[in-house]
Amino acid sequence: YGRTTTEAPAQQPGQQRKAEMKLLYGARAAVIHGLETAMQMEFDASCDLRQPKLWPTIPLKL
Amino acid sequence: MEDGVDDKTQNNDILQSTSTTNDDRLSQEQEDRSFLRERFLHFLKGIQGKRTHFKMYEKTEVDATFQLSDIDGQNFLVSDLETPMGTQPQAMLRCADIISCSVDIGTGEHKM
Amino acid sequence: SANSENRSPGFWRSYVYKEVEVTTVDGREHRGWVHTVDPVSESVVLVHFEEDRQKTVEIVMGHAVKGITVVNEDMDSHREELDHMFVTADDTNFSK
Repeated sequence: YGRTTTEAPAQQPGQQRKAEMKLLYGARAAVIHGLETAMQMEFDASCDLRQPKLWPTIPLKL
Repeated sequence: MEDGVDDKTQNNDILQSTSTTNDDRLSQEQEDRSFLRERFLHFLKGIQGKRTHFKMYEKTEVDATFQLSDIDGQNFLVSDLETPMGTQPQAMLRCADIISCSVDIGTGEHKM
Repeated sequence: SANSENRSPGFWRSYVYKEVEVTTVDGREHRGWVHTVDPVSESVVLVHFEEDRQKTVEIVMGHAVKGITVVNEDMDSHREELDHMFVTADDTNFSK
C-alpha cells in the first residue's frame, strides 16, 4: 500500500493472481484457475484468428 | 493465581473457537464460490456453437452462434450474427449492451 | 455491477435448484430454475424445462438484474437434471 512505483515488486504478478485465486476459491483454486486460463487462451486465439468486429460499433449502453 | 490461569485458558479457548469460526466461514464461502463459478464456466463451455438469442438495450434483439466469453465476462465472441444490416460472420458483443440471452440446448440427453 | 452491495457466494448459492423470477432493468421478467449464479459477474443462469423435453437456458446479465424472487422452493424437483446439464467427458478428466 505504501510502496512507491520505483521499488521492485515483492512478487511476480502471476504469483499474486495465484494467491488471490487461493483466497477466493480455496481447495478448488487450481482447477478453476486452469479452466479460466484455458478459456481465456481459447478466446484470445479465436479473436486473433477470426478478427471479430465489435457490434454494434457504438455501445448501446453508455 | 489459579483464577488467572483459568482465565487465560478460557481466553485461549475463546480465541481458538473464534478463529475456527472464521476459518469455517471462509472455507464455506470458498466452497460456495467454487461451486457457482465452476458451474458457470462449464455452462459457457456447454453453449459453445449454439444458436443464441440476445436481448439488448434500446430494444435491440439479435441472433448469433455463441462461441466464447472472456473470463471477466466483458465480451462475447459470436459468429453468424444476424443484424438488421445483414449477417456479420464474426462479431464481438459487449456484455454491457446485453440484458439476457437464451439458448436452445435441445433434449435432455447429453453426449459423452 | 448495478448492485453496489457485494452479495456473498452463500447468498447466491441459496438460489441454486430453486425456481425464481428475475426482473431486469427493461421491466421484463425471466422465470426459470437456477443452474448457477456467476460469482464474478453475478449473471444468473436459468433453465426452462418445457413439456416436450426441449430445454432452453437463459443467462440474465448481472448488471441488468433488478430483483430476484423465489417462486418454487422445491430444490429436489430438477436437481439431477440441473447437475448434469453441462458436464462433459472433458470435465471428468479434469478432476482426476
